Amino acid sequence: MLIGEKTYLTCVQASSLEKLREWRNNPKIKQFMREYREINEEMQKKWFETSAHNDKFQLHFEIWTKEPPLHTQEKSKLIGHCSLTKINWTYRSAEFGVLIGDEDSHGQGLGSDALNTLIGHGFLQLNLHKVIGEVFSYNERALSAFYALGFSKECILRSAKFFDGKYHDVILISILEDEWKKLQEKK
Amino acid sequence: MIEGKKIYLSAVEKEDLSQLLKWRNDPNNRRFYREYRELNLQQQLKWWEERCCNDDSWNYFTIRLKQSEKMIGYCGLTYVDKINKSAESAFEIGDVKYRTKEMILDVLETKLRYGFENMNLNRIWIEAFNDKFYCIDNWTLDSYYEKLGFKNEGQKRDVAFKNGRYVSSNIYACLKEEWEPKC
Repeated sequence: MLIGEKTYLTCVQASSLEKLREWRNNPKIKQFMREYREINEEMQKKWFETSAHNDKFQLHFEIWTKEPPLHTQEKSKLIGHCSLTKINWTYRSAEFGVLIGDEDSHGQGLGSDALNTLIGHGFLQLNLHKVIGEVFSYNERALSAFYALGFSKECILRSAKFFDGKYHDVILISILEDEWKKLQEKK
Repeated sequence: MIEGKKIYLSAVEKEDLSQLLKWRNDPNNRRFYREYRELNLQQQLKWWEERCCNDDSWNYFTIRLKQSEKMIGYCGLTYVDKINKSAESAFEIGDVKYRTKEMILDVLETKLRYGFENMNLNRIWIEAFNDKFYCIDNWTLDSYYEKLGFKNEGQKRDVAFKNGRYVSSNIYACLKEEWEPKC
């Protein structure tokens, strides 16, 4: 378990697969993902058996709230998924992915907290040098959250994403180990 | 055959592989590749079977002289993304005698034309490590890309580790609407 300030991360459990699949297929979330297909139960199971647990080039986590959400009786809640994929162990880089599927959990900094925990794991435990992200230009809310965490813009890939009848830019962002460590000292 | 001015592009044949392997493993070339491993013929054969014979996300060609049919290098339109209509362009003029401004422009132009006019791509991109490798007549790689209508879209920091230090790369891209045949 990786422990953040507001959230903790666990490995992906078989019992969560349907919840994760529901989020992946939700158009509000899917518009920000590279996968364009609808995902069925079989594909999800296969992903679980191969990518999620059996591939040294990717790590996947469930995001849980640490505290009970305000005004509820619940203890802890599964709210999303995050990952480090395309891990290059030679060049020490990886790409992050993060989604908060639970709509009640939006706007509370939970995704940022989970992502910061994930990046910290990458730099402090996996000995990575760089973490990158690919963000579609219309995902403005996520972009500003990523910049606030310390990511910088590297490239604007023009018209690299076709969505809803139009081409959109793809923004490449990154953070280096030194940059992240300096930001944590300040905190 | 895909015809250029002085060169043409043709499919990679099995008997081309041992020459390609020599170029791939040449340390002077490899410092500009993402690949860091020394490759053997078996790996090269597997690459050929998977990418050249089976999967149209990868389009590799040998570069040959029209006059003599001599193979001087190889190139590709790779990482083809069918929905976003994009592909990466990569090339290597392995025979250093032919690493001239004219040849490089000929190869790039031929490939762009094929990508936009036949593969119906919308975006062709290039990733180039920061270097002066192809610096001929004071032309760096930037000069070629800019002459052909590519725009610099930014720099990927510390993207690979070569000869004891991290190196960065620049991403260039040309969109169909920006492209016009230069000859």
